[in-house]
Amino acid sequence: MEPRHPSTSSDGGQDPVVLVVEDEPSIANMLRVGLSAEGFHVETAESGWDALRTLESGPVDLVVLDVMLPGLDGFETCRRLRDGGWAVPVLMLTVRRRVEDRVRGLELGADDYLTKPFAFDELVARIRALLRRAGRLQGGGTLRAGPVELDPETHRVTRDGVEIRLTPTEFQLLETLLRHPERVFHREALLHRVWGYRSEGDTNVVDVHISHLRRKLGDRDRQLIRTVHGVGYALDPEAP
Amino acid sequence: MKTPRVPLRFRLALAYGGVLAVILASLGVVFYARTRSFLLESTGRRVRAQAKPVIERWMPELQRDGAGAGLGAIAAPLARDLTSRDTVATIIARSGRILATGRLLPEEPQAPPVARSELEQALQGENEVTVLESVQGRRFLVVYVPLRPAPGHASIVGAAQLATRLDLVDGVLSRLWAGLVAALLLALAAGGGLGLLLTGSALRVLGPLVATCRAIADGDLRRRTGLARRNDELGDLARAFDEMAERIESMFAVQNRFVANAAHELRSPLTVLRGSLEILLRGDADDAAAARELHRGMHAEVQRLSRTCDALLELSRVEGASALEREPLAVAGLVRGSVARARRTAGDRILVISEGPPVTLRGSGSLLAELLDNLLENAVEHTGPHGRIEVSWSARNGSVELTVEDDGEGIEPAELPRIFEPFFQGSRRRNRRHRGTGLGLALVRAIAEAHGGGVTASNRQGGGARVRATLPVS
Repeated sequence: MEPRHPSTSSDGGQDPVVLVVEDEPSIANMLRVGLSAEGFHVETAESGWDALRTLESGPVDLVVLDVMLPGLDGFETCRRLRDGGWAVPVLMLTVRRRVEDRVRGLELGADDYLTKPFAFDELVARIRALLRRAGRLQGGGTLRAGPVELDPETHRVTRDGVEIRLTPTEFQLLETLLRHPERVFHREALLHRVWGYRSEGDTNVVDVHISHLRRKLGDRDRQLIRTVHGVGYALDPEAP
Repeated sequence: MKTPRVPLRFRLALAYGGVLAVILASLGVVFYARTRSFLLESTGRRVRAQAKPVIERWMPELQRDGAGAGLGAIAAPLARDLTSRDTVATIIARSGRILATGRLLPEEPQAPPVARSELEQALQGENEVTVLESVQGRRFLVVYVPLRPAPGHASIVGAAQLATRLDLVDGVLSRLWAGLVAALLLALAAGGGLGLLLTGSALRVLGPLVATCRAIADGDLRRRTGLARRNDELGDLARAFDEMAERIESMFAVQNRFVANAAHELRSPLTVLRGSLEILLRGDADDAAAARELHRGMHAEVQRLSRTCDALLELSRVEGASALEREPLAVAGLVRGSVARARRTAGDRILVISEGPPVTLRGSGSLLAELLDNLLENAVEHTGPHGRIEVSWSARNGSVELTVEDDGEGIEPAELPRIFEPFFQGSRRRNRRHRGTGLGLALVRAIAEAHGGGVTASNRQGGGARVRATLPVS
């Protein structure tokens, strides 16, 4: 079937719109705050009917859909949404771990699922992957700052077209900085994002990897990755 | 040391057989002894009866010939007349001298030796002296008969020894003995065999029972014995067992649902707490307002978890309470207090008290207030913003029936039996904005049951739910 709403996605240059359908206010709040900080524009809906109305009223790039909803549940909402011709990616949040529930969700047209409680990192990663797959992430996925380019799909990093070999940790560090240009990251925040929350909390490791990264990227005068004294690091997208 | 395994049916059969053997053997011994003494006595009587006319015929001869040597004169013919094929007679003088013996023919028995003491008894006038003697392996019944000149005469001139072969009696007795032993063995075999068969068939029921026990022990709680239709003690056992299995199965189902629901209930707060903490750790919520919002959300969830925890403790406390502290309580006062409290959170909903009879009941004031509070909270939660809730009570059969009715969305009929389970969430949930602990109705049931009452839920004719707690007055 030809999607009836092929133009529902937001235009490039704007933040992708994520519709969170969740009747539990505390979870909806948490998702709104967290996803907003990750650079998404978040809309919320309390019920399946609400969600369908929001889809009608404006562009939505991705739907985060809770299964346990009053009235129209997540499965039913997903089915109606697909029957209505929306091609928007749907990520289901479920509390049940049973395989048949996941299969049912996927069969009804969901693109991915996560069980509650989930790691926020994983939710963000999956949302990004779905958006990328649907071609709704700006810049076709390639991240750019001055002469440096990073392709999250192929894990290739180049400076002025010349490939630079990075370790996986350095790659992730650079990707984190590139995703949030100009944002000042605390060392702890970088530690958490790159090394995970299992890390011991020694932020020296961040400094060491930043200096490796600067050397490999030829950023001797620290113009690309700036040091913000007493806080952490930030990336300057306009660096020469 | 391990005792060897002896199947129960063998032990039972052995016991039957043992008892049977003792009974039969004692019967046999008594019967044998009676028969033997009867036979010997009748033999003695027969010998005396046969001897009497012969003696009475010969003794008058003594008077005719004059006393003294007379007995010697008639001894030989007398002895001869008293002797037959079975019996041999010996005539003995007062002095103890043997005057004559009647044996002539070789097939006639040899006379046994004279027994001194028995002879003395006979000579002193004892009429019934009888003794058993054994001569050359053959048994004799020996009778000593005093000889008088005339019947009833005081003087005794001598004695006759009459020895009768007991071959015939012994033959009868030994055949009787053999028959008794055979009958005993036969009865034993039949009794034991039959016992084995009967107990075996009765105990065969235990096979499926054991198999069912094992299956249940292995976790198959749905297994039943399938013997409940038997109309005997084993059927009773099977029925009792099946009832127990039924109860265990349902208790496990409730328990499993409780654990699943509780785990489910933890997922929402965990999702919020984990997500919020990770967002904060990522440094995403650097702006103070966002961080504050996350903190507030986490705080609310932690508070809710604390409330749930308190309610769970309360629930287990009420369920485990052995005896309540009871005091006399006016139902009207209880209802008015709870309704007043409920009005504070009821918004525009209309709460009505339909006054019932002025009854008092004995119970825990705080628990019953909690019961009513929870019922009202539940009603408020399930009615629209302008809903109507009515509380009423009545007295019936020594119980007070407290009823809370609302005009909300009612209860899914299939969910009626389960709404009092802890953490049960119906499909007709309105929203989670005013989410309780999920334990309110479970607590209601626990409190009602702790008071010896119960609680039921139903749907009203015109829509809405009706929950009724029945509480005994004392």
